[in-house]
Amino acid sequence: MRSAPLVRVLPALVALLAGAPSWADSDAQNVTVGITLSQPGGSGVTPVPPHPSQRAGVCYSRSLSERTGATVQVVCDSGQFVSIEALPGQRFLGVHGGAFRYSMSIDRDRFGTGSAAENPFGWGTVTMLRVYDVEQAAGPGDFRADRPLELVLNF
Amino acid sequence: MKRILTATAIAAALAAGSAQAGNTSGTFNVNVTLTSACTLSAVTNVAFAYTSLQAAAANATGGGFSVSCTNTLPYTFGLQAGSGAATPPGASTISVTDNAVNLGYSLGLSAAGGTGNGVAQNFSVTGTMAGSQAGTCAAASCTNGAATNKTHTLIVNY
Repeated sequence: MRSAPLVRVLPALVALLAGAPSWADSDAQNVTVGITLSQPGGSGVTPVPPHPSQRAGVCYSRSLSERTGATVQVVCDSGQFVSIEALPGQRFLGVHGGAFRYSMSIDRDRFGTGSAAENPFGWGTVTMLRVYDVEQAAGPGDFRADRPLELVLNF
Repeated sequence: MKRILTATAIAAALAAGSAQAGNTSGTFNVNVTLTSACTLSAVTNVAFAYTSLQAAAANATGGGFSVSCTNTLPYTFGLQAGSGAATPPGASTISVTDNAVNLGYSLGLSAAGGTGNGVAQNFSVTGTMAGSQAGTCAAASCTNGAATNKTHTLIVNY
């Protein structure tokens, strides 16, 4: 009678083994993944400021975004100006402590008359805008409405 | 003349007669043991072309391969991240972040498996890269040629 439990269990074990996938063998091959990553517009490491008549476009920032797990997008003259979002599936490591979107509008008329510090727009804590001429820059504060923008983001 | 004819008839009778005393026969079996098998062809490279921060997901090109299996033999495919020793059966999809350009992607298969028909059957490894990824590239464009995790393993189980 001591073997009775085994008798009961054995068919179940056999059934289990019979139902389990039983691959007799396998073959394998390597799969190589090639990636070509291009910059938007393909302008290179140092983005060339667009001509004032071609300001609409997508700019981007690499300097801090990858270290903080965020993407930064700047869309010039087309509505969205700044957005900061966590990289897909990653945690945003910014000093503000969480993933968020930072948006602000742009009013070019104000650029010609004052600095970003005097005319804050949007909201955030550490964001600075400078307007300067890359080719003939006289330094920060040399504002002209149609000159390229330099956007500095700290997050 | 009569004697000559008689001798000729006797010789002919002897020549036509069988020298065998009798015969018998037997049968035998031919036993064949067929070991089923599948073989994978080389897999063409899976290629992504991605623009940093692009909104839409990118689909890979390439990845084609063929498998030849014994007639009626069912088989399945599996994927395994990395190029280490295959540990069947593998997964239906794998997700990897390339360690050179810092872009995440997923690999899958055009079919989970099939049934062998004795000739090469064509399939492909599919790839998808989500949009809105920045990636890492200190130039106008980069490749992942230096990545140490760009090679993965395709397994056929049978």
